[in-house]
Amino acid sequence: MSGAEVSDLIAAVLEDYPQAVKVEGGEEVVLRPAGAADMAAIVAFAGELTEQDLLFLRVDITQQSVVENWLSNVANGQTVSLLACQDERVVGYCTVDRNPARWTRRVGEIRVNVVPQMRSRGLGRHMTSKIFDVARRIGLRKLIAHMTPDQVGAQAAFARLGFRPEALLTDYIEDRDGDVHDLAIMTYDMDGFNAQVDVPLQV
Amino acid sequence: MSRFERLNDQAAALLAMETAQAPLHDVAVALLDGELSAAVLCEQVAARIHRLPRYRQKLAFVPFNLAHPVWIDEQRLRIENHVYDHTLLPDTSLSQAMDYALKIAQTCLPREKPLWTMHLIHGVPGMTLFVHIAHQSMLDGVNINDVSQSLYDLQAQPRQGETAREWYPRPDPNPLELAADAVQDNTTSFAFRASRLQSFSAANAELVRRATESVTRFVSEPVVFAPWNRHLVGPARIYREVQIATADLRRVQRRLGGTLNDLVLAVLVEAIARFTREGQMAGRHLRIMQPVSVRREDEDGARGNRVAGIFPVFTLQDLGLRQRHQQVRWENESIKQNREAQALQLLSELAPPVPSIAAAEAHDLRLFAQPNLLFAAFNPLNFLQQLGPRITGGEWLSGLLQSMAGFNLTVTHVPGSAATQYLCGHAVTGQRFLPALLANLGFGVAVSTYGGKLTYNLLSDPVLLPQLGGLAETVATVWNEFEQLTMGDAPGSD
Repeated sequence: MSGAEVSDLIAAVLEDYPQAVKVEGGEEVVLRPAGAADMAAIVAFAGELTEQDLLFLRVDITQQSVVENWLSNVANGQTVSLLACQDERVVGYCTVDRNPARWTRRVGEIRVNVVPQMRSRGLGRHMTSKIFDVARRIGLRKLIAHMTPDQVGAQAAFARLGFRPEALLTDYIEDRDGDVHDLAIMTYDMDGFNAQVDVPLQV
Repeated sequence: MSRFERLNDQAAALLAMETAQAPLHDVAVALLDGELSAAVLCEQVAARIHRLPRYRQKLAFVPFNLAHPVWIDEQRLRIENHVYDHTLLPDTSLSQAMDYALKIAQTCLPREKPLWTMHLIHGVPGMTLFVHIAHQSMLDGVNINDVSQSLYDLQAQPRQGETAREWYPRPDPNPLELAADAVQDNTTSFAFRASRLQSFSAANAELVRRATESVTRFVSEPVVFAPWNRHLVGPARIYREVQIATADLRRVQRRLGGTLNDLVLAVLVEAIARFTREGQMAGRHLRIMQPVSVRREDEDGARGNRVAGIFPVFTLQDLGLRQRHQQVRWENESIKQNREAQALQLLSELAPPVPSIAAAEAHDLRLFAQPNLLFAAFNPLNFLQQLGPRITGGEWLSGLLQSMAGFNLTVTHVPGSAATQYLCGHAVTGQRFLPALLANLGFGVAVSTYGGKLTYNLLSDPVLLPQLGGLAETVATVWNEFEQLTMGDAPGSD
């Protein structure tokens, strides 16, 4: 698939947004595509994360330059990101990164993050489901998600979508404090052995 | 809305259809390295049961069956009453231990307790069998493998700092509360469904039209009864398995095209075609029911998974292996394109609610079941076949239905971890799954994957299909032929 075709697919998928969703407790959150104007809001979001959360971020989004790089990837179509917002405040994000290398161009990496106050209220599960659909619709055939073996909530959310543990890489992650951890990789293969229907029923 | 968590139509139907001969629980068997004791397992379950809230609940039946049962907290939950140790003779073989697991799984779970049990079978040298049983009505649209993930680890060292949490069950409701809530819930449920029909989108109207077409196929292509569909199942079971390395499956899949699901089903269908070549099914067709998990979303956000059935039909005529694979690929693609699973799920949600009095005690009260109850349980027609002989003069109904509708077997997919998992520090070296047999479905298949291997788990009623070993051998032969066939092909050459 050419870059232009992928860009068209992304544009078509993002036409479905913004979308309002209710989380447990009745609060409404709006999901919308991330854009260049969201830099400050994302850095502010990172400021709400706990020290423990920051330990395990793949990239340090408290740094403006890192967020700038992220948003430039969004602009060039390498990354598709949705932000969960309450008014101007970002309370979560979900993102799928396409790997531009030719031999991994069918693979996308999904990441989801939510501020502590919104956890265990269904927002993370909802965003995981939404970004999975985005990834499927832009033609990715294999999806991966990285997490530590202790992140059981994340594992459960991905398992609901049909992701399965693929590998455990020992001593793979070094956190901001220099401590070493294992990395669990969960994957979903569109052409693999599945018991899921990819397209959700919307009623 | 009910103040309790009430069983949906599907879960209630699963309870209603269960009989002493046909328990409707999921059974997962994990082969553990070394010896694991029940005491250690109990500790782990206690530490993690907060992730399995349904495991702390039991059913409360509503007076006069005014509505489906609800889940209430178990006041006296003692995990050790659900975890059992079984010690067999030393040097028991794995196959003998599996036979013992089948016997454990023969008995229905008592309905006055949380609907799960766990069993540790000792006696196989260097190994413990962990048998996990949970009723299908409590699994909320996932299979038992997904539930088991909460107990397993990806590291040999169990997660640190996990200990049993304080938990205080909510008080039991009294019968009057249950009845009043049921009446209120029935009223709001009718109103909700009516409002949903009014706000029906064009896309969903199209889905319902497709669902109607799918259902029509049941009548237009009447099922041909296989030897294992001759009569209702008894309590005994036999089990055989065929294992294939997933790397080999992927190699063949890349050469033939399509998905792994296509290839897995093509091997099975070809084996069944050969196995039934001499009988009345020769040259006719086979209808399979495949439960699939459908994500359901509404305007309030993600609402979890539901299990829907898809019903692929395959000719049993002699075909070459490539033709067989193409046939399965086309059928699966057509079902996917038509969104058959979503359509049938939507249809079951839109149908008027099932009177719980029909669902709960239909066979005892000699009532005809409601069609939507049957949809709710995926298998409308087999349920009626089962019900037929139980109602006055119902033999004619069974006979009529047997001639026009139904399906031949269920094939359940249970994808598992490719990475090694651990239970209480013991490596899981293999996993097996036992499909439920019910009504006149005397043969079923669960296809599972774990640790780089795919397993065809074949289960049958020994009276209806005593030659299960022969069928397993045919599956292995067909697979070998697929491998040979594609040996010289370049990837994607088909």
